[in-house]
Amino acid sequence: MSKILEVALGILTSIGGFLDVGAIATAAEAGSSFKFQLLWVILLGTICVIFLVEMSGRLAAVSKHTLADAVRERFGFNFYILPLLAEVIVDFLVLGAEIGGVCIALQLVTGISFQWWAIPVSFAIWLMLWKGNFSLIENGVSFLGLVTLAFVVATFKLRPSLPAVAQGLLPTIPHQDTTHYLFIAVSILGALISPYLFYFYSSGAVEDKWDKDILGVNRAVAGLGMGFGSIVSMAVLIVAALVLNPKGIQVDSYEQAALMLTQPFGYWGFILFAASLGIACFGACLEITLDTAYIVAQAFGWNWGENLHPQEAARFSFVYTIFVFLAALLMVFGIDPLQLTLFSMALTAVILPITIIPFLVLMNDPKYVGEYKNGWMSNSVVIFTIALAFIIAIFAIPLEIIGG
Amino acid sequence: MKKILLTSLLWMLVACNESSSHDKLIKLLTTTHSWTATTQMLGEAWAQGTVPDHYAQETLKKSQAEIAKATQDLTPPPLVSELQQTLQEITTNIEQQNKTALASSLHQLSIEQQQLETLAQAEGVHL
Repeated sequence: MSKILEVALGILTSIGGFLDVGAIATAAEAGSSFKFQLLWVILLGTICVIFLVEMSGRLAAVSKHTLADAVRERFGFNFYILPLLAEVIVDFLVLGAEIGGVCIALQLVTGISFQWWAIPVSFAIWLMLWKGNFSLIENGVSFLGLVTLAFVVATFKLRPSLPAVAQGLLPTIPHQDTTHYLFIAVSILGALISPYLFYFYSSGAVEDKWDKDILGVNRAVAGLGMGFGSIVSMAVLIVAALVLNPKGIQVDSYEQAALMLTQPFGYWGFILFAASLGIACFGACLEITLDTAYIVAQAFGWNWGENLHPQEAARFSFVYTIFVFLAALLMVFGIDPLQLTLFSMALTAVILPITIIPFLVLMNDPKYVGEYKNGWMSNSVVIFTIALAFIIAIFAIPLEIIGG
Repeated sequence: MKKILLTSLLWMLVACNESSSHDKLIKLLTTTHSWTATTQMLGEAWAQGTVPDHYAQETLKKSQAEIAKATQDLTPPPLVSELQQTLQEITTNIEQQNKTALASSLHQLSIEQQQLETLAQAEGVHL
């Protein structure tokens, strides 16, 4: 019975924690610009992330290593410095975007500019990390994140054409705005396959002292949790496609996206959008900030752990303290939150090979995972998706920048 | 209105003799269309009490700023200037909480949007 409860809890927190600023922004932009045509990218990204999250949990449970720790040990510190730097830079930009998401949500509700909210929000994140524990951060905010199910309810209320939605699950390339389409596709993949997700998952598995008995639960949570969570992401795209696209609104700012839920829910739709954006992004802020502290501490062999008192892991605590306040400055200085989100998501796709290839090597190394090595399907899906994301990114990002 | 439409079309035929100018024009038309559509939806939502005043005012400011940004390095066609004027009227209507005047401005905006779509079609742009 307790395993069933564990699976149920894991699935609920995965659903509640699935959306973040990247998923919301990219799905809204995709739906408003290209209707259902980019649904297949969400499906592809989800399949890939299911495999990656399951692998991350399996590695931690069997080897008792976090992903960062295992990469450093297997390949040496001199190699690890490269994925570490790439991840820290991308985490910094993504955290800035997530803080921006929370600030925009507060701006929508209060009318006070998002720039003024950046420092208070970063302080709230810091306080929760300083005073809280891993369970509170992993489960507490994710339960609140179930408010994002409003998008799923909205989808049912708006009654999309099922054949049209189904067609969107098949890959297509439009004849017009192809560069913009590919850029959004890459941004969606970057939003879904965020390295912080599986670095964080493996660190959490070690914090929770997973062992081989948990492998079944891990598989269920990864598959069902991420699978159901992606339905929320698809719902954001579908709502944008049904509400904004017919009116000719292409989402270039969160102010436009905020109108999405007003058609199915009236005034409460506006509030639900702000709540979804704020809570989802706040949860992601906690994860990304912790993740950065995890990977830096694990790289240098420092004490680490959210369940430890800050004094017991001083350098770990120092890293997340400095990091969250520095990332907040991106919003203080008024960088456009939506543009930062889209750019950082696309950049994530560029660094995926650096972070994933060592991961795949570990998952095929019996010294770390013993008899629980990857099968051909795991390897194939991950390699295909990462290669696709990387190739599209190196072409689409420069073209998008040139195109303005 | 027909005169403005014809003048704008003539202007575009004269102005569009370089590909970079053409790209800027496409961007201007796309941006203007998107933000005027936003204003239309926003105005209707505000009239129904679906969105708060501060959000409506802030988004209208953003609409005007985005369209103004798209007209940089480019002399905007007369229709875009007309649209910007209508956006300003809508902003004033909402500030003054005047729903009657707002309905009239939104109707005007809707007509101008249709003219914008006609102009865009003439340029081969699908909005």
